[in-house]
Amino acid sequence: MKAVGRLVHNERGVALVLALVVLLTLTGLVLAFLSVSALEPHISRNHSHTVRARYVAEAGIEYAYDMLATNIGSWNDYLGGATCAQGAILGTPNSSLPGLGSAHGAFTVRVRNDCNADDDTLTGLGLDTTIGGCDVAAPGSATHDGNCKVIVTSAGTIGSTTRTISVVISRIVIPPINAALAFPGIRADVNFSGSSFVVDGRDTRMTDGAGAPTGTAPAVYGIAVNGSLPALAAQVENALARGPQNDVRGRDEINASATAQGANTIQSDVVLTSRAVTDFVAAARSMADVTIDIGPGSPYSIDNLGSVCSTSIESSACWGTPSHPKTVYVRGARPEGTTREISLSVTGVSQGTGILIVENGAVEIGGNFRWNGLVIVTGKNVGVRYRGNGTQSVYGAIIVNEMHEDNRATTLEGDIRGKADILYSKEALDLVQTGLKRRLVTTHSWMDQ
Amino acid sequence: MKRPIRNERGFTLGEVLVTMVVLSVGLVAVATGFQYATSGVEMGNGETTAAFVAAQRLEQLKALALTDWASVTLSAGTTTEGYGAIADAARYRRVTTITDSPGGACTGSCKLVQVTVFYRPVTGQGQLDQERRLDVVTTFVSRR
Repeated sequence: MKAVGRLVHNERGVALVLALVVLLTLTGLVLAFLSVSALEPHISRNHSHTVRARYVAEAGIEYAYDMLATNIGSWNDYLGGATCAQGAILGTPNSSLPGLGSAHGAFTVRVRNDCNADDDTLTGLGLDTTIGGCDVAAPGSATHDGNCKVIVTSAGTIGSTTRTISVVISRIVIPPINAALAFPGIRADVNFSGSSFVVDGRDTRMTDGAGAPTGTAPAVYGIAVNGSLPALAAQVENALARGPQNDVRGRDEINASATAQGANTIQSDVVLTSRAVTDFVAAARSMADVTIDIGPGSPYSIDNLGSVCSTSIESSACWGTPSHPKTVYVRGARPEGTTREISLSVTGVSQGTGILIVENGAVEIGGNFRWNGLVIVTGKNVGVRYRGNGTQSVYGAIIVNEMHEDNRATTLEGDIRGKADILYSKEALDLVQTGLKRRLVTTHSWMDQ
Repeated sequence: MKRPIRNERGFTLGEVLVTMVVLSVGLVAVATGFQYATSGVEMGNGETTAAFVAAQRLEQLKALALTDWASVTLSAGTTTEGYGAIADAARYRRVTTITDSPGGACTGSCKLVQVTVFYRPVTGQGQLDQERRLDVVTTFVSRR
C-alpha cells in the first residue's frame, strides 16, 4: 500500500504527459480539418464539372431544336428505331462542340415520342397513343408523332461527369388550307355584292394580278365549308347565285385536277376542321409578335397599317413584311347573344405579311389593303367584311370559323363587297410558314438530372 | 487538505524545457497542416465561385438570345471583364468569346459561346496563388 501511495504522490514528469495529451488532441483536430479540407477541392471540381456538363447537354438540346425546327415536317423520320422508353439517336453520338475537342465535352441526343408511362406529366397531355390534334391520319406510337410533341434527352459529358436534360419540343401546325375562303365552323352566312370581287382557289403568285394566277401548285376550292354540314355549301351557293358567281374559281368539286367556277368550286370538305383551327389558335397566340386585347364595344381601329415597317420593323404597328413575317393576335371580347361586334377595323393604305388571328367578333377591311399569308377569324359571332371602298386583297387564304349559333341577319360570316380579292397563294403561305418556322417550334418542361 | 499546502515543489527546469521542445515541434507540424487545409478550402471556394460566375454570364446571354437574337451583346467577338469588374466577384475576371456559325452542326443561326473565368486562390500563407481558369462552353440557336 505504501508503494502505491508513493507512486500516486510522485508528480515528476506530469508536465510532459500533459503536453503530449494536448499535442495529441491538437493533432487529431488538425487531421480532421485536413481530411475535410482535402475533400473541398474534389467537391468543387465535381461541381464545376457538373456545371460544364450541363451546358454541354444544353448545347445538345439546342442542336435538337435546330434540327427539329428546320425540318418541321420530318419528325417521324427522326423517330425511326425509337421505342417509347428509349429515343433514337439524333445526329452523331458523343458529338464534340463545334471546333472544340472532346476535352470540352461531348453530347449525345435522343428523341422519342411521348408515349411512355408518366410522359403525360411532362407534356401536360395524355400519352400520344391515339389520333392526335396534328395528325388525323394515324395514332401516335413510338415511331409516329400524333400530337406534335416529342421528348428530347441530351446527355452532356465532361470526363466522367454526365448531366442529362430532358425537354418537350412542340410544334404548331398551320391548319391545312383547302380553299381561298374557308368556313369550317357551324355557320357560313354570306353576302356577295358588287361585281368586281374575286375569290380564287388557283395558285396565285404574290406578283400576279387578281384572276390571273401563274402559280403551279394544285388549286384548292374557291370556297369550302364544314365537311359535316353539306347544307352550308348549298347555302353559300344560293347566296352566290344572287351575285356574280363566276368570280369564284378554284378546284373542281368533282375532278380534283381540274378547275371550275361558281357553285362547282364551293364544297363541303373535311380536310380543314374547326378543331384544327382552334388548336392552332390556342397554340399560336402565345407566340404572337403582336397581341392586342380589346374590350366589349371598342374595336381596335388602325389606319395605314404597316407604314412604319420601313423604319421600325419591331413596331407593334408593323404587322410583318415578306422578309419579316409576323403573327398578329387580336383578342376580342365575346359578344353577348347574337350581337354583332367589330373587333378589328383596318382603313387607309395598309399592308402586312404573316398570320392574322382575330378571336371573337368580326373584321372590317376598308381602304387599300394587302395581306400576304393567312387570316383566321375564329370564335363567337365572327366574320370578315370587305367594305368595298378601295382594293382589298388577301394573297394566301382566309378562314372564318364560327363556333356559335348566331343571328344570320346581323352576323354574316362573310360579307364580300366591292373590289375584294381573296386569292389562294401557296407562295405567300410558304413564305409565312418558312418565316415563322422557328417560332412554331418551342421547348418547354425542362427536367435536369 | 493539508498535503497540497505542504508540497510546494513545482516542475523542474528540465521538465519544462523538454515539454516546451516537444510542444514546439508539435505545434509547428500542426500549423503546417493548418496551412494545407486552409489552402484546400480556399481552392475549392475559388472553383465553386468561378463556376457560378461563368453560369451567371451564360444565363444572361441565353436569356438575351431567346428574346433579342440580333442584340449587339451577342455579336461575334471577345469581351473581357477584368478583376474588380464583376459585381460581388471582385477576385475573378471573365472572358466571353462568341463565335458565329463555328461549323459542324452549328451553322446558320447558331453561336458557340465560351466563358472562361480566371481566379487566383489565396494560399495557406496568405499569398495569391497562380491564376487558375475554368472554361464553360455551350451553343445558342436562334428562335427566330
